[in-house]
Order: sequence, then C-alpha cells, then structure tokens
Amino acid sequence: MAQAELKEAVTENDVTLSHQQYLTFMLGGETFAIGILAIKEIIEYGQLTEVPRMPDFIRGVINLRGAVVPVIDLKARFSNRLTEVARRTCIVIIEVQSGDDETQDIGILVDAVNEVLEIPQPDIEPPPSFGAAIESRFINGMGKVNDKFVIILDIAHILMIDEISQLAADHTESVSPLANNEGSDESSD
Amino acid sequence: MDMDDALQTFMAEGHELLEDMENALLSIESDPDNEDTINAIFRAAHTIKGSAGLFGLNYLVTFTHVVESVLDRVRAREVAISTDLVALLLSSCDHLTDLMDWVARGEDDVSDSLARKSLGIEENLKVFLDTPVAGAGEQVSADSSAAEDGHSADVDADEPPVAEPALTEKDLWHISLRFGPDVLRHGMDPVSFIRYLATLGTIHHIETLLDAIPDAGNMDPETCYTGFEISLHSTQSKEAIEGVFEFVSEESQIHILAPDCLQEEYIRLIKALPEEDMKLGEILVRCGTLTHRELESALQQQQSSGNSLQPIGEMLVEKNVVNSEVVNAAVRKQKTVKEARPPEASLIRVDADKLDNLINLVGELIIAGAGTNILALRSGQSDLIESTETLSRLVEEVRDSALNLRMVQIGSTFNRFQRVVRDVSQELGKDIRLTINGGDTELDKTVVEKIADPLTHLVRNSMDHGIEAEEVRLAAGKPAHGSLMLNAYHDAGSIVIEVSDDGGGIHKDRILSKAIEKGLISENSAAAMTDKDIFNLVFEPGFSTADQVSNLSGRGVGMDVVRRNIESLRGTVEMDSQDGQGTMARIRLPLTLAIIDGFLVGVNQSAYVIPLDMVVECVEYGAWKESDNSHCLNLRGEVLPYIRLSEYFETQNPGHSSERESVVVVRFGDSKVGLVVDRLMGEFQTVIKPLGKLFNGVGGISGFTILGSGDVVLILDIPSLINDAGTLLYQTDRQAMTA
Amino acid sequence: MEVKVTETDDGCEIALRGDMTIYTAMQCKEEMLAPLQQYKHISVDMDGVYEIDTSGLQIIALFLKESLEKNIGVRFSSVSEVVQEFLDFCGLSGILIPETQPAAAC
Repeated sequence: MAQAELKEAVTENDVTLSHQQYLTFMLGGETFAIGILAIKEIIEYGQLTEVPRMPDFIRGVINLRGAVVPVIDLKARFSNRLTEVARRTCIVIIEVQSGDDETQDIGILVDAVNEVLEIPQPDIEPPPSFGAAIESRFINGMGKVNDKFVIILDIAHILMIDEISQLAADHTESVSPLANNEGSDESSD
Repeated sequence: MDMDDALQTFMAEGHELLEDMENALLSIESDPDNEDTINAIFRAAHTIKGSAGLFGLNYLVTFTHVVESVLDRVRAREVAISTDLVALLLSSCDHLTDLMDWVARGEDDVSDSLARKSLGIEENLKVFLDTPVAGAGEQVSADSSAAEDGHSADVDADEPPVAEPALTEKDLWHISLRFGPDVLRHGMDPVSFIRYLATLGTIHHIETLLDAIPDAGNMDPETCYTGFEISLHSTQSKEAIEGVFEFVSEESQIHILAPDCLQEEYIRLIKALPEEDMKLGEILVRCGTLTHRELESALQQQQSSGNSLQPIGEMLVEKNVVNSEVVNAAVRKQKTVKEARPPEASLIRVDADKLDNLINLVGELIIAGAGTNILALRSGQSDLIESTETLSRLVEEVRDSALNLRMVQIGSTFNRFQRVVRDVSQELGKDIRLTINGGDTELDKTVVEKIADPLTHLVRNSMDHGIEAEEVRLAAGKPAHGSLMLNAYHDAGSIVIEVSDDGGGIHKDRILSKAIEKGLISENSAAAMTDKDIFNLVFEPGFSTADQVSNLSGRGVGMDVVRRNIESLRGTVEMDSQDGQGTMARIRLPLTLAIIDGFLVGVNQSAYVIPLDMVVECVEYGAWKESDNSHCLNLRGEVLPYIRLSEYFETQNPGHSSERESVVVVRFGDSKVGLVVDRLMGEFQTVIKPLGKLFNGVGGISGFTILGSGDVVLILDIPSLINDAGTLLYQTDRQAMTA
Repeated sequence: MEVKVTETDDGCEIALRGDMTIYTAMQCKEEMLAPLQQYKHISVDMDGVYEIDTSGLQIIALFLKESLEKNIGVRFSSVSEVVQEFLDFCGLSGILIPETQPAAAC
C-alpha cells in the first residue's frame, strides 16, 4: 500500500497492474503495452475529420456508431512526429475519466496491434528514471516479454483530459488569427 | 419496488407546491383580502403535510403542521396578513425546501442545525397562534372583535396533531376503503395511510377486511386485497380527510361519509361495496356509524317486502327516491368541486432522462435517414426516392414534436424573481417593482435550467447598481419606485431574454477609466470603442463598476461568469444603456441544444455546417470583391465584414482561392458577417453533438454533427465568428493606419 | 427475511426473522405456506419480525385461512411488539390468538 501512495495514488494504476493482461501494439517501431481494462474496442482506421487549430497530436474526430470520439496520435504526443496512416493502422478506443463521475472515450492511433498477453507482476520492472524514449511519467513499468522489454504505458495519465485540453487551448491561442491582437483577452478564458 | 418513484413524485410535487406557495405569498402582500390566494397557500401547506405524512417524514409533518395552523387562522380571518407574517411564511417556505432537499438525499433524520432551525421558525410562528384574534397584524384595527377567541381553540397547534377536544357523536366520520390491487406494488402501504388518517382525529374503530384474499394458489403476495372500514372522530373537513388518500384515490374505492350524512348514504355505501350486505351492515354497526336499530329496521323492511333477494340497500334507496336524488346531487356537486381543480391532472410527469433518450434516438434517426436518402438518390429508383422523401418528412415532424416535448415556458423561471426582487429590495432599502412580459415564451428545458443563475445575477446587478436610491430618483424627476422588467420573445431561431431597469444607466466614462485602470484596454483603443463595446466591458473578467462593494454583487466575479454561462449555452449577452434612462441586458439563446436545421458548406476538403436560422443569403464572392487587404465587402452599399474560412481555420493552401467562391451572409442579433466558402452543399437536419471537454477551447466551432455518409462535420459558431470578424476588421484598420 | 422451519415432535415450528413487507412478500408467502402441505401442527414464532406492512398482514391472513381449511393446528408462540402493535392498530388484535385452531389441536 505504501507503494501505491508513492505513485500519487492513481487508482487506475493499481487496477491495471493487478490485472496483468495487456494489449501490445506497435508505435514507431517500438512495442508498447496498455492494460486491457481501459480498452473498449479496437477499430480499423477510418474516415477522420480534422479539427482546426488543434495541436498536431490531436488528429481529429471519428464517428463511432453515432458518437463523436477524438483521436490522439500517441507518437506525435511523445515525439512530435506524426504517425503515418498505413494498412495496419488502428484506433484503440479507451475510456478515460474526464470528471468526477464522467468518462469519455478517446481513440489512440497506433501503427499496428499485436496481441493480448499476460505479463506476471514479477516480470514488470519500475520505469527507468532516464533513457527511455518517452517521459517516465507516462510509463507504468517495463514488462519483460520473451526476453524483450515492452513499455507499459500509464494510459490514464497520458490521456488526462485536463492536461490535453489545456495543451489544446494553449495551442489554439497561439495559432488564432487574433493572436497578435493586443486586446487578445477576448479570445482567452 | 416503486417506493423511490413515489417519493420522487412527492419531491417534485412538493417543490412545485412550495413554488406556488411562495408566489401566492408574494402576491398576498399587495392583495391581503384575496381569499383564493389565501386558500391556495393553505392548500399547498396542507398537501405537503399530507404527503409527508404518507412517507413517514415526521419532521416535515410537525413543522408543516405549525405553518398550516397559522394559515388556518389567517383563513379564518383571526390573524391578519402583515409584512412580518409574510416574511416568516416565506422563510418557512425556504425551510421546507431545505427539509425536502434533505429528504431527497435519502437521510432518515434531519441534521441538528435543520432541526434547530425548525424549532426557531416554529417558535416565531407560534406567536401568531397565541395572539388573540387579529392581534398580530398592525394593519388590522384593534376594534375587530376578539369574541371569536373560543373558535380558535381547535386550531391550537402547540402540539403536533392529537385528538381534538370536545368531540361529540356528530363528529363521527365513516370511511370505507378498498385499496386498488397495485397499491402495494406502487410502494404505498395502506396501513400507513390510516396511521396518517389517525393524526386528523381519533380512530374510533377499525375493521380490517381480509376476505378478498383468494386461496393460496391464486394469491399474489404483492397484490393488495385488503379493505378497511373506519370510524373516525374528527373536526376536520371532508377535503382534509379526502386529502389523506390523494395518492391512491384514482386506483382505489374510497367512500367518506360525513357525520351528518343521510342514512341512505350508508345504504348506498353498502350497495357499492363488494362484500355481502348483511355482513357490511354488521360492520357498520360495529364501527358505530349505524345503530342496531337502524339496521334492524332496514332488515325488517326487507323481510316484509317478501323479496329476500333484493338487497337491503337497494330497498332503502327505492323507498326514499327523493333522498337518493339528494344524494346524487351531492355526489355531482362533489365531482364538480374536484374537476374545478387546476388542470394539472391532464399532464404526465416524465423522467427527463427518458426524454433525453428519445431526443437522442430521434437524432440517430435523422442521421440514419440522411444516410438512406443518399443511398436512394444514388440508386436512381424513383419509387425508392419518393418513399424516402415521405419518410424524411415524417422524421422531420417526429423531430419537431420530440423537441417540443422539452419546450417549457420561461414564466416559472421569471416568477421566481418576484421573490428575489422582494428580498433584495428590502435588503437594499429600495422600492423596486418587477414587471414580467412574455412569460409564455417557450424554450428548451435544459436551457431554462441553466439560465436561472445568470438571470439572477443580472437582476441583482440591476437592482444593486442600476436603480438609484429614492432621493436620486426623485431629484431626476423619476417615480420613487424603481422598475425592473423581464421580457422574453422569439427572434430568428433564438429566444431573446431582456433584463431592463429604469435606473441611471451605465456611465461610459467610469467604465472606460476603470477598464484602463485594470489594464483591460489601452487608452488608445478606448478612443476607438463604440458605446456598445464600452458597455460590454462589464462582462470582462475582473471588472466591477461598483464604487461600494455590497454583499449582493459588485465583487467583480459576477458578470464575466454570466457571460461564460450564457456562452456555454451557445448564446450571447450584451449590454445597452441610455444615460439616465436605464440599462438593458439582452441575452440571446438558441431555442434548442439538440437538433437544428443546418446549411452545409465546403472549404477545401473540409465541410462545415452553419445553423440555417442564421443564414441570411448566399452571394457569389467575385461580384463583390473589394480591395485585397480589407476585411470588408460592399454588399449593395452595405459594409459587410467577412471571414475567409480557409484562412480562419488554416486548412491547406491558405490564401488560395477557388474559381467560384461564395459568400454566405449570416446574422446573429444585430450583426452580420460574410463567410467566404468554396462550395455550397445545401440544407439538412443536423444533430448537435457537443464539443466535449477536449475541444471546448476551439474558437469558431460550436459542436460536431454526423452526416448521412457517417462523416463527422464541424458546426460553425457564428456568434464567435462575428466577434472575430469585428476584431480582424479592427486590426486591419489599425495596420492600415500605422502603415 | 428469513423463514426457518424446524421439525418438532408433532409437526414443525416456523421462525420468522426480518421484515414482512412488500419487499419480501413473494419469498415470505412461498416459504411460510410450504409447511402447510406437510405438517398437522405448526407453531409460529414471530418474535424476530421487526417490520410489517399490509402485505405481511395479508400473508398471515392467508396462512391462517389455509391452515383452517386444511384443518391444521396453528399456534403463535411469540409475536414481536411491532407486529402486535400493527395488528392492534388494524383492529385485529385477536387474529393470532389460538381460537383459529380447530378443536382437535389440543
């Protein structure tokens, strides 16, 4: 329990870790994993509508059976390089907490989906404090699969709505055609 | 079980009753002799007490009982309406609302602080119970006689309902109950009704009738088979006793016979009930409502007639034909009294979630329908096209009526402000009167719910800062009392709500200097601002013009929140003011938040939807091209600011212009703007999907929609585009000036 | 609620515990009536019933009626205050007194 407290007590972490089933997928040549509990479904990449003035990593929105779901490009989020859409490109639909009682569906763009597998708790090592390709706060741990390490993402953290919408708002402001207006408080919050 | 449902109904009705009570209290002050209003107040309190009793909410019953007792004295003209009393009753209303909220939270007992508050208010109310007749109100002359004092004894309410004193045989009511089969399933326990009935007097005798229970194989344990015959000592009115059973009156057989009713009525009762006449007769005797002698005489007559098959009741009534007509007349009269109640019975209470669900489904239907239309057109089969067209028309009608279900009148929201205005004017020491116009204007329920807060703020702001103190008003040649007006009307697919006052108006200079001082604008830009721009500065965050900070408004955290709340409803708010004449805040809101008629336009590869209500006309761009750097078009001599959507949204190749660009002229309120687009793609119905948290900050976009093809399309936020167009124009002008 | 049926020398004892309300009516009816098919002498212990409403009353009435028809001896060994008060209120104070027993019961 002490360990949980150290981890800012993000409850979803505990759930993900204890469950031990993960979806692995490819992103820019590397293998990543996320706990399957948060995953709602996986769909093929389809018609996507761009939303203007959004940062690059927010690719746009899709129609998921009548619901409008935003799609995030994880690669762009980590490295500022856009994922190129190819034949095996998929969108993984994930349910995240967006408020006290609310949840929101968000799609993440991945190069390809591999498999669902179990990674026993002993095979998971804590995230490296440095040297990883992505910020360590986005990593839940390093899982050993077939003698190779996969990065287990802390998806609840990566898709924190407040943080993303803040990034989006900052970006919007900087690209607004009114950005050079001295009375710019009109377009701000 | 449905217990929760029943409680929900009670809560909803309770709140409505409290609202009615409050409104009636507010109007009674100016019209203290209006008996209808007094009765309405009494009825409201009485009904709340009754329903609370059913649910065993004793603290509500005890408290309401005191309120009711005071009201009863008012009704009997023993206590006069006074400002103090109205204030006290209003606070009782508030307290009841608190208590109900407590119930809603599912707590069994009230918190200490609420209980203390109950006691406090009860103490104050009891003053009106203890005072000699008509002694409490200063408006009543002292000579109104105190001789009726004795009469007030039976409304003495120092203790919660207990037996009334000095009961005589003539106070013996007979109540016959056959509960409907579904009463238990609806979460109501017949015995608890009778327990509550017992609080209206003393129960003399109860006969519980269990004969209707079928054999084990046919008996459904959730069906109610139980009936009761009750005799009750009570000095209450028939209405009061009837009120006990209001919740089950529709599905159950309820007969209430007054103490002085004709013997024939008992006979009719016996006839009406399913049990055997003889047995019932005995029950009535046991209950004390019929004497043995009366029963025997009836039986004898039955025998002497030689026709033992004829029920005694029928005989008796036959023998007294005239009387039975009297009875019938009485029944008819009772019926008309019942029917004369407000027409609320014809309304159905529907769970808002169900309605939302329906609207969502209609939304899906529209999207699916649009998809079918496209397929039909593509197939080229004229039969199919024709039939999908019929279908679309029907879908459109379904959409309109579904949306209509959610439309409510704004009147009840407006009426709430009577109270606000009354309270705040007392607090401020100003005499302010509220006038309401257009209360029957309808708008979406979700919008109504969310508009109350911003309205409250605007109203308070007007009262606080707008309307001057009495001396100032008199000096300015205005009437001593200030006027506040709430007005609502429909205009071009929006609803407009105006809050106006006849106060001193907004002082432009003061606003400007304040805005400069707070760094909201520079002195240079101040010079170029129009009056309207200046007035609307009050909506900027951190702005407050009050020289004195009062406890109502003026903390500088109001008006910007007002604007934000309204904008979150896709609406706008603006200020208008005439120096010395008054101020008006004008709120413009969309009629509905769910579905609109849209106009589809294309820009490069993207498509956008413009709410059709706001489209004025479409013109070819080339014909009106002005000099390149200006953000203005000359539309038949009118200067029209425009926005090139491709530039605005930075879609690919900004600056590129296709051959046949068009300008869609849109209007919102008084402002017009042209939107330059590549393609016009026609009208269609649009289901609005909210932007969601992630995209809330995107300017120029108000939501998403899904086309028949399944594509997601952005809905343009016309008000914010108009706003930005103005800013762009202003920037261009400045650049031109500095260049 | 809990309906416990224990076999005794000449019949059985039904012990009721919990609430006899509409929420438990289905279960209560079924379980309380079942022993009537089997035993000739039944003793009912209602000491553990802490809540009762009209539906509970109906089941007691049904139980009594059925037992009378089947000529089963019924005795209420103990009744909680809540139940007694409820019956008193309904004017049914005597309903549980063993007068409903057929004479042969002793």
